[in-house]
Amino acid sequence: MENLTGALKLAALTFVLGLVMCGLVGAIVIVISKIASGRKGDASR
Amino acid sequence: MNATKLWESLPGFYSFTLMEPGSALIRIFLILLGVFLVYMGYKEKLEPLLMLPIGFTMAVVNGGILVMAGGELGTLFVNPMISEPVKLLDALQINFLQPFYNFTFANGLIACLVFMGIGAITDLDFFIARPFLSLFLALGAELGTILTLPLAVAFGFSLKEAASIAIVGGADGPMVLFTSLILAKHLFVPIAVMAYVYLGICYVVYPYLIKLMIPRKLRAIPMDPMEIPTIPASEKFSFAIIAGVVLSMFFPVAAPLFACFFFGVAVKESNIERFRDFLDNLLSGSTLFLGVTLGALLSVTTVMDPKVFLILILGMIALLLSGVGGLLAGLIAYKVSGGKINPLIGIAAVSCVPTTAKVAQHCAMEEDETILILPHAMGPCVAGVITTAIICGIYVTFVPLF
Repeated sequence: MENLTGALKLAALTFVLGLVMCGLVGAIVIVISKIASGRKGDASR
Repeated sequence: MNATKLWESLPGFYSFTLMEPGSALIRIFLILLGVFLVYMGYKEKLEPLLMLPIGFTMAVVNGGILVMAGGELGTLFVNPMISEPVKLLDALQINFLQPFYNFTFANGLIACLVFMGIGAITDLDFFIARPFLSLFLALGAELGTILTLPLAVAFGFSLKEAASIAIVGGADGPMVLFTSLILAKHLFVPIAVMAYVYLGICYVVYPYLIKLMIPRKLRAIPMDPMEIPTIPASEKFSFAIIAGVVLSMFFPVAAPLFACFFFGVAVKESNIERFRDFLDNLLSGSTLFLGVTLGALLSVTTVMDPKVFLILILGMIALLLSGVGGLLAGLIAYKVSGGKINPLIGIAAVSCVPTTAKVAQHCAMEEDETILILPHAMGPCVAGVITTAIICGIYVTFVPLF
């Protein structure tokens, strides 16, 4: 029973951490894209 | 020479008489299953890159069981159960796959090599074009990876064993190898073999799941491949370096996996032809030896663990739940986008690059032969690899703390 409670807590933690880490990876992509498009803008000017 | 001596000189057959009847029947079943997998691989009904080496070695290893020096039954392929240094030294000189097992499997090297090769063939264009959609679908497709954990514990497995079984839901072989080697080494053989056999079966099972969950009309929604912009190589290269470093900082225990995958991507996006060619060959070679060794591990003398049957059931549940989660996320994306997104791309988020993306394309083409959703499906497919690596990192980091 104790093990099952631990497993449920770990499953919940995995979901939340997974969500946070996915957000972080997505944010990295967006930041890199913004910097790249900013550079493209500078170059065209 | 009398008849008994003659019979004993045919150890492959004689060893049947030294086994329990149940074990002898399972041995025959494994030989037939191996031949069947080879046939299915040859006909390309199942993934030939895996089924040919696994099936063939599985059939011959079970055919070639003999009485070893100590009197017990064994093979001259590999013995994963040896832990005593002296016996291991003997085995390294006798069993032809023993060096390969001990120096590449037992330390996770093979998982990292395969993952580096996968990185080198992974195209990030589709993922970087729509990162949040891809990651949303990929997180949905981790349903099996997350829910199977408490389910396996309810079936009587320890938390470490349960996490190793649950990661099968991520449908990425290297992650399964890595997690089970770190958390449940004693169950590594059945979990790894089951995972790879199931990954080959995904191609057959998922289309039925799709037909069950996604109405025909939605399967035929077209998605314009020209919508996906071309991403400069420098952007993909930068992402690989930064994501590799950041994720390794968060999960140092899984850093070898992140390092190998993102290094593979960086090599692909750089212009170093020699490295790219080498990684391509490395992936082929690693996959071949991985399949051969996994098949050799499927000897009746090593798979007679009472937990194997439960692992088989839980592994299939994990993959099915991940498929359900991916398709549900695909349906949500379809609703939120106002019907512009074909929900089939949700199944691609289960990962197993590029099998699941091909399944999505194949099922869409069954409804309309002109549809091309493969490029859109590759985004979630790549995101699935990243999310599974993240969950692998969470498991190997946090499970020992619980």
